[in-house]
Amino acid sequence: MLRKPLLLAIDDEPGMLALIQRFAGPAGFDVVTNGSAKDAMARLAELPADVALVDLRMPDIGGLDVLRAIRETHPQCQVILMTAHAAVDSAIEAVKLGALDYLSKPLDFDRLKDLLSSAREDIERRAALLSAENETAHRLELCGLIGRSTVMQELFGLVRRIAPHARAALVTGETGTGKEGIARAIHQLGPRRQRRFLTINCSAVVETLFESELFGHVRGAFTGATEHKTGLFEAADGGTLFLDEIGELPAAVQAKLLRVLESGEVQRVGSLQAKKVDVRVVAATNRALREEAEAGRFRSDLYFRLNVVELHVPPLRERREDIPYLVAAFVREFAAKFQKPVEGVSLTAERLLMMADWPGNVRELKNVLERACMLAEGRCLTERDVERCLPAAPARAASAPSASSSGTDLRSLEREHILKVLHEERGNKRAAAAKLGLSRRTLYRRLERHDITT
Amino acid sequence: MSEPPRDPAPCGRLGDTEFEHTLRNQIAIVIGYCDLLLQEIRQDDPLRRDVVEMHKAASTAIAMLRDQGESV
Ligand SMILES: Nc1ncnc2c1ncn2[C@@H]1O[C@H](COP(=O)(O)OP(=O)(O)OP(=O)(O)O)[C@@H](O)[C@H]1O
Repeated sequence: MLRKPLLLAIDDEPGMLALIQRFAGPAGFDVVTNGSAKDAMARLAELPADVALVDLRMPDIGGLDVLRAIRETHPQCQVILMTAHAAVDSAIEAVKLGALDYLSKPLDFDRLKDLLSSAREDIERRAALLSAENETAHRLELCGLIGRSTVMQELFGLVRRIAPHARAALVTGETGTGKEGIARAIHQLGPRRQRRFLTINCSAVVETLFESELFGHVRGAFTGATEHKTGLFEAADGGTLFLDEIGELPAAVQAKLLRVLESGEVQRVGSLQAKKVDVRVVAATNRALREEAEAGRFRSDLYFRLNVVELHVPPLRERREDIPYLVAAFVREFAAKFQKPVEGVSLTAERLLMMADWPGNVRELKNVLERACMLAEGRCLTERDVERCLPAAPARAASAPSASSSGTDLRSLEREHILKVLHEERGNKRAAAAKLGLSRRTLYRRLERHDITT
Repeated sequence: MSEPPRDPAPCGRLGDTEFEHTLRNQIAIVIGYCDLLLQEIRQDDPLRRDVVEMHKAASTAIAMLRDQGESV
């Protein structure tokens, strides 16, 4: 069982406190009352209240000030204000400050009951979300990938169905959506799970070394080939080879790759001997490979070979309902990593995370939470904790890059600009590089230098 | 002649907001307990009628206070 939620009642009228206690106790709350706002404020830090009922008008400190203090120390606490004199302006102010509701006295117990039970459900939902042992959570995951949205559940279902059979698969989706995770899941759930899963990022290999990387070479095959080298295909024999960013593969290598896929044989560079290999190939791309193929920039025969099974991972902004679950999992992960007592995010912070654009998708969300957890001080990430880790809003960065980063150095400006262009190009690195006037390779180096994971 | 300085409001005068506020709170407490009792007392319990009467009287009092507050 979960612990009972804690209700903090603050009113200078002892009779009112007794009445609240009499009501909220049987409603399933632990109740702490305090007749002095000043005293209550001083003890706020030790009181992990889930809900607070605060009188608006008290002799020592006003209810709005108490509300402000609670929002500050316990951002996840829901505050309900009570007043004997309903006044429009203080009601508006209270709502602006984030109060859950504003009740007039005599209290409407039906309304209060509804408020308390919805607050309670909220607390329980969040607690369940955070519990790692949650059974349902595990059932809905795919090899550690989280996705409660219908689109992701359908994708997970498809992966489970094809994993035992598919010889090749193509995973598409924007940068950071989890394509590599899907590729790993295909491997994990297939008959080759005991064998190797090897990865090559096609955009990070020097063109002239591609063939040797993939297929190996014999000694003396070219200058510098002083030893025999096993290629990735041979090394992954019996297992899975993941070709990330397949769209970046040079045309000559595309032809060779197709031949290997068709014949099931590799030839080391410089050797005439063919060797049988049994490798499942999973390729990933953030480009519209079909269009590339139609435009003649990618071999269409290779495209069709890989595309036997196509798995599309939708961008995060099209499945925002996954965000709270991803957030809960990442907060748990980074709280443990940094040994911080962070347990979750406040409601307003969650709203902020739900609304962001996430051009870098899940990876970006994960990075933001990593930074936020690293810097966090309380049990709960506040709106501010999250906000300072979010990249500047693209609109603002575009119109006035110098204003949003005034006083910062060239390095940060460069970083910001690269992020902006990447965002504009929806993570397409080739297009971003072209726009920035850099070669793709140089862009990669910059990304690394600036610690931009895309 | 200038107005004489006003004494701090003596207790018990209607129209004085502090007094009125406290009074409202006290009546709200009475009504609150009546509400709770009415939820707990069975429909056919003869005591119920008494509580209903208390509730009625207290509600009238609060309504009077409200009217009074508005006319000030
Ligand atoms: N559904 C998910 N649940 C949990 N973590 C996820 C999920 N999707 C992505 N991640 C995390 O986000 C990060 C990026 O994922 P991944 O590397 O699989 O993306 P990608 O689409 O392959 O990116 P790129 O196109 O840039 O190679 C990883 O740290 C991964 O663990």
